[in-house]
Amino acid sequence: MEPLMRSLKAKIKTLNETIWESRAREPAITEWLDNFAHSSGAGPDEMVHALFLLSNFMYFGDREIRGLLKALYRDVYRYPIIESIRRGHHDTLDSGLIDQHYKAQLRATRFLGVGNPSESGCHLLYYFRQENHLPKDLFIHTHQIFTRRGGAGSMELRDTDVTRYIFIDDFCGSGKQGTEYSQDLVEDVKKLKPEAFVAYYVLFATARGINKVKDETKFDSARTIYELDSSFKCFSAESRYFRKALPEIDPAFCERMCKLYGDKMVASKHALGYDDSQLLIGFHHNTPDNTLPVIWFDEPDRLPWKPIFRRYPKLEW
Amino acid sequence: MNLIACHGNRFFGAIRSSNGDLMKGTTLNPFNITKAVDFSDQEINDYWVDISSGSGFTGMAKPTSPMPMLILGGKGSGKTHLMRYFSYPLQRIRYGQDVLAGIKKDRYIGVYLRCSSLNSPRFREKGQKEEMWEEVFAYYMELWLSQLMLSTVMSAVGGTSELEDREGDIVKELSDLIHLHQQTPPATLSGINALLRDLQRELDGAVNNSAITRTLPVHIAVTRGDLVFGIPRAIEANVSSLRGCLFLYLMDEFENLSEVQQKYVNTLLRDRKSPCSFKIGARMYGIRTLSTYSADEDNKEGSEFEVLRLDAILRENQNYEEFAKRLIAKRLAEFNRIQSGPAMLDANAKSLSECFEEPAKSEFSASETGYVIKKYSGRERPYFKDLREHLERGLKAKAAPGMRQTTDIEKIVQWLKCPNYPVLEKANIFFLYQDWRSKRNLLEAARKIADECDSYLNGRGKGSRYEEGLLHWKADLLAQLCRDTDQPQRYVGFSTFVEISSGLPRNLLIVLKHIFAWATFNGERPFQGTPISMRSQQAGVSEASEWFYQDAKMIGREGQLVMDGINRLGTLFRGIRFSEKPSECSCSSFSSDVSKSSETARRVLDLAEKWSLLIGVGDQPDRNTDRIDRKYQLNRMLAPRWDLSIYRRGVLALTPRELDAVFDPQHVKEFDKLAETRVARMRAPFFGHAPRVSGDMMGNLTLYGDQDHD
Repeated sequence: MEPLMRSLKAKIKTLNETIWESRAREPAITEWLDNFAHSSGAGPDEMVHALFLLSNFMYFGDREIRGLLKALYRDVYRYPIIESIRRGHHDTLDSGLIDQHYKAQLRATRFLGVGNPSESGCHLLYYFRQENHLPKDLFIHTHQIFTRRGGAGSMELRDTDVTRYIFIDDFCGSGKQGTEYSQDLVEDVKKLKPEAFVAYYVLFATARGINKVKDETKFDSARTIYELDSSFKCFSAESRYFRKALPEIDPAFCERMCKLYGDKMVASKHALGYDDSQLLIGFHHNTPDNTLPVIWFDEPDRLPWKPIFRRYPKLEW
Repeated sequence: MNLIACHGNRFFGAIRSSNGDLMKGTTLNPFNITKAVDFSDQEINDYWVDISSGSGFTGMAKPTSPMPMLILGGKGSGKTHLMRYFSYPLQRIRYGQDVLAGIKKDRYIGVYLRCSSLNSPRFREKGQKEEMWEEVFAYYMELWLSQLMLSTVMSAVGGTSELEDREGDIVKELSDLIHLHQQTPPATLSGINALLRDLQRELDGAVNNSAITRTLPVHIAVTRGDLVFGIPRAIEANVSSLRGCLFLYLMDEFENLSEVQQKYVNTLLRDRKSPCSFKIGARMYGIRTLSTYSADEDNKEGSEFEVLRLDAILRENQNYEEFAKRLIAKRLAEFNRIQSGPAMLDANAKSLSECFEEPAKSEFSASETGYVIKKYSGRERPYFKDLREHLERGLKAKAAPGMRQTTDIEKIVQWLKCPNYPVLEKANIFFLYQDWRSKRNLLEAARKIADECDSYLNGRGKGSRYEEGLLHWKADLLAQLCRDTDQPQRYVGFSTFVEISSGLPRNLLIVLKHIFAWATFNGERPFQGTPISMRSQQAGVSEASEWFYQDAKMIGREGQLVMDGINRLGTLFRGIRFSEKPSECSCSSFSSDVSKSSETARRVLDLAEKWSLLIGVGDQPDRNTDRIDRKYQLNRMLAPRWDLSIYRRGVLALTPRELDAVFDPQHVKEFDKLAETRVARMRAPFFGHAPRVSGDMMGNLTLYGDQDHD
């Protein structure tokens, strides 16, 4: 067991030095491993299984997030527009013409964050704007979509020249937030301007979540840069984390352990991450609750637990 | 007082992200840069440390000696560092405005160049004959070397009145050496340099395009050697400040030139003219030929050139550890931007050992092995478990002399126990295996060992087999103990790292780089007060060893053969070290009559030595004959990979057949069997003898029954 522990720590050290922005040094890891004190009833090998999970954690740091925001703009927003401009002009290669039309489309676009201004979706807009050198007047709050110029009860689009509304988010797990936004906002936009293009673009999404937004909402387009298929679900049959069998690692034991602790942390149906997502993912700015709670849980009043990649909870009053 | 610890604050300069405390401090590693090519001239100067041996590196490299020198060494031996130190840019930094006075004092002016900058592979094939490329390459080198020399000299004496007065004569002398057709000769040295630059540029174009044009339109405007030797001669004759100085071409990375290209440089060495000389830096394998264009004569060591084998000299130098300490102390001081005069540097160097935790000295290694008592509290220690199994098997196969029944096993185990001192328990078991191999009555042997242990514990064992044996085998016993108890091997302490570096300063830097990274990861503050923990050192050494192994991997079939051979050798050494009764103590070296092995084995062995994976450590007289065999040690950087000792003690004598099995792919199939046979003689319960009871797979004596190496 000890050789495996050492090799897992060596792997984590490399991750820490290169991608994890030094977020998980050994003292923090030791503190986190001390949580697994065999008291859950899941057996004596908890620490090595916990370390194994940690060694498979996917962390996207500041540099990676910024890179993904560039990719989002370039590949998901810009290139389809360029494509359509070219097609509409007999496959032209005239860069002056393309640029002229593209700028017109860009001027008629507004980018919005998902969630309230303090949430991560909006937080990302700042970096999205920076990385893609976009003017700030293309960015609005959701309340700026509409106006009640005609008085209470009447609602109009504030800027009728806008033809595209692009909602940007960092993570789509269950698709719940995207669905809510569709009901609250998109349907109204579509009523007022059916030809408006309203899109939901998200950096990371589970396959289930993004398909839910695609199939059950009024968004004209729902796309993601990084799709998390079922292999990212930690304890699924297709799980990528247990493909290479290690004699010391038992997937069933691992799942039992995480469930037993998770049950003490959150509601049972979310013991392995919100809506049973079972993810091992975290970002520079936060860890989503779709990730296994043993990674991020930090509510000492509920259960004394030292997280390794802490989640900053959305406190609701 | 640990002086180093007071100065380390700069390491922990945190880099904060725009998101505040989400990004933890990133620690700068003072050992990150390990290659001299990555250093600026100022850094070469700032980090320079001399060795306190004779006249130091100047005495070794002899920059004022007219005799050309080959400076040979493995990767990281310091060749580039040394050669750059003697170059003009460093002279300039050392002497500042008084550089001319400095050069006069030094009695040389150094022109440094790297052969890799030539991009020498472009000087071949492309539809041109080899003899064409020989001429073109020689011409290119002439232009390149001349520009470098001229630029250096102009930098040193440019603007001085003596150059102004004599420039015309120098320019005329040099212009006569360049066949300019109808061109107007330049009027100044800058003009000459510009002309040479234009000629080189034109030649670059012709060479680079020859693959496409399939032509090589070159007009050779300078006879080879004319400017290389002519510029220094003209300068020395006309500029009094440089009179009596040696004009030194410092050619590094010679291994990047092909055999034909090296032949040209060899010719320059042979035809050397005063006031020039050459220092050629190359890897051990880097000299492809000694032949020249002078009637195809070979240059001979001692006649046309001398050799400085840098890492070999450092390895054997008794001041190497002190030099290494000062090197590291200097690195730390410079990194912290702390002025350190020689006295402070020496004091810092002395306190360096305190920066690393080492096992506390204790009687019978009690504190070092105390973890065993704690870990196995209430259960049997693993080496006793193994002993029981061996005794059971031996008893069953009637190969356990003196034992009749299973209750004898318990008696033996109890006699050998010494619960407070695990290393003595290991020693007891080892002596029992020794007696077992010699077919002594095990019950009597165990009782005697118990008495000897007791005497030793009570200070009565002076000069006894027990004391002598423990002294001899202690390192291996502790290594076995680590392995038995799933602990990493202990490569700790600064002296250990110096040994591991095998005379290559870069290896030491790499070890410390990894240790520093591990210490930082482990939440320690290296060189800031508390010593670096043993676990950080162990992890760092292990990682450095793995890095060395991966870095040493050579491309191509030959490279693969060498690595396979090294892997087999490492496996064999490990098998021996961790057997019940190793034949050699701290075995990481072997000897063999190489002349009798296959040509392939000899070639692979030679390559392994040239690539510093094996270190030639002289000769070993064969025990049984008068024959003198070659002796090699596995590079100490590789020792941690196979949990081997870094010290050179026991030497494994390999037969030519065994050597072939290790290094010749044609004989590889025999390796497993030969190695198993060899190691079987060290393993309980049969020690290589055939079991009397059939059904047991161990110990068929085949080839080596009459060769007992005990």
